[in-house]
Amino acid sequence: MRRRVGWAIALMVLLATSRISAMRLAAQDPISEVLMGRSGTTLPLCGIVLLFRFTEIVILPVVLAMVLVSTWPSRRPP
Amino acid sequence: LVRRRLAQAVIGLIALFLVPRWVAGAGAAAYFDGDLATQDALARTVITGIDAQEGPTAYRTGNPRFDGQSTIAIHQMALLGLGQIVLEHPEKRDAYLPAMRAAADHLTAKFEYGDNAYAGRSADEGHAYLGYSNLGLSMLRMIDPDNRHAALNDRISADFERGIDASPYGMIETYPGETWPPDVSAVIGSIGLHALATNRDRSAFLERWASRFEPCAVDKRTGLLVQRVRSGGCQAEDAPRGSGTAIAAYFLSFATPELAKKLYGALEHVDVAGFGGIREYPFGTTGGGDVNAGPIVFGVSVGATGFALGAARTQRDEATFRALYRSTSLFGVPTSVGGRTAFAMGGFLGNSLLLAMLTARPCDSQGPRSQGSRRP
Repeated sequence: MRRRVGWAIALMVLLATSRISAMRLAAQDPISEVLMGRSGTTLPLCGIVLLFRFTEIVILPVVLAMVLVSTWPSRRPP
Repeated sequence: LVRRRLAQAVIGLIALFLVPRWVAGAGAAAYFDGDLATQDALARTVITGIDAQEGPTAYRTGNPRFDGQSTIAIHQMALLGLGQIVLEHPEKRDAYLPAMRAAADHLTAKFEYGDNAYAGRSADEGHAYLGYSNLGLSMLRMIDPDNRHAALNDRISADFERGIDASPYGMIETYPGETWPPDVSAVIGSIGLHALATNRDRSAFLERWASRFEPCAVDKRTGLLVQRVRSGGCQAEDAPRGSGTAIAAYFLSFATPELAKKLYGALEHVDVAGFGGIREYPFGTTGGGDVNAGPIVFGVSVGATGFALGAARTQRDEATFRALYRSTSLFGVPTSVGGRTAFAMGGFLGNSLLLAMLTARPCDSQGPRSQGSRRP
């Protein structure tokens, strides 16, 4: 039970961090920053946002689905 | 244990195929159906950008041509996007008109951009890049017929018509010695939209133009638009390209719906698990990215994919629109900020472009000014 709560908290932190970093990026103008030669902080933030986006949309659903299958009760022979 | 591992693999694959396309596709239906709240949330991000611009150009990179081009692209697309929403939802006219007027002021500002065509130069000397500005001005004309740029819009449109009619191939130069058929499509789109805004019948001129332009600028093998031709002739100086064809299919929806449909039909789609993209170069050929195509990944360009979103909506092609939107959403990262929607990766330029593309009006709903254009 404690392990599941831990995973749930980790998941929520991941989603919250993803949202916050996307909101920070949206408040900037990545194209403008790169063109003006101020890409120092923006490009890494773009990378982080995309990494979170892929994790959230592609990797996480697959991992969750596989974890769910692994928790199915197995049928044992009588 | 083996059965469990097999079940895990199968479920994992099913999740990989279904969940990303479902999550990334959220919002596609609302944009496709013209949901006002969805469109308005993105429009308010673009309006914030217009209001925040300081100085004559949106970007100041030190390269006047790029700064001018990007400023024109931003405000032209903002005008098209906001205008398209007003035409679909006339109740937004009063809310959007101040921003549309400001965008038109930015478009016509005297910024350093090679030679400034607004300063008395005639558009029939070339200057097809003005087609982009004129598209924005024509859209403002649809919504606000008596705006302060109406006379300029008339003059540029008339100059273009003369220049296009004088050309045996229906083309004018963008810059001296450079002829780009996608830019000519912007010119023709602006004439078509101007005709709609002023209730003039230009169908004979537009049919005449299409009959000369198509044999010269459309690649016979692929049906794609050649990106660049030699000035004064039809000899290709660049490949037929997806980005130019997709943007032309959108622009020509205002003027020559049949040619727009043909160009849209020629686009080469790629689909991976429901995520769509448009190839920049035809199958069997390769080439590099540039300012028009943006980055190219596995043959698919960001530019062609983004522009094809608009073209798909003009053709009422919902399946393609959804597939392209999923990719746009995956990489663009739509984010809610203070009740507004912004594509986090897009910045001012990307969000303006996407506003125009996601709100593009179907070809069969283009028509003369409607109640959305009521005079103040």
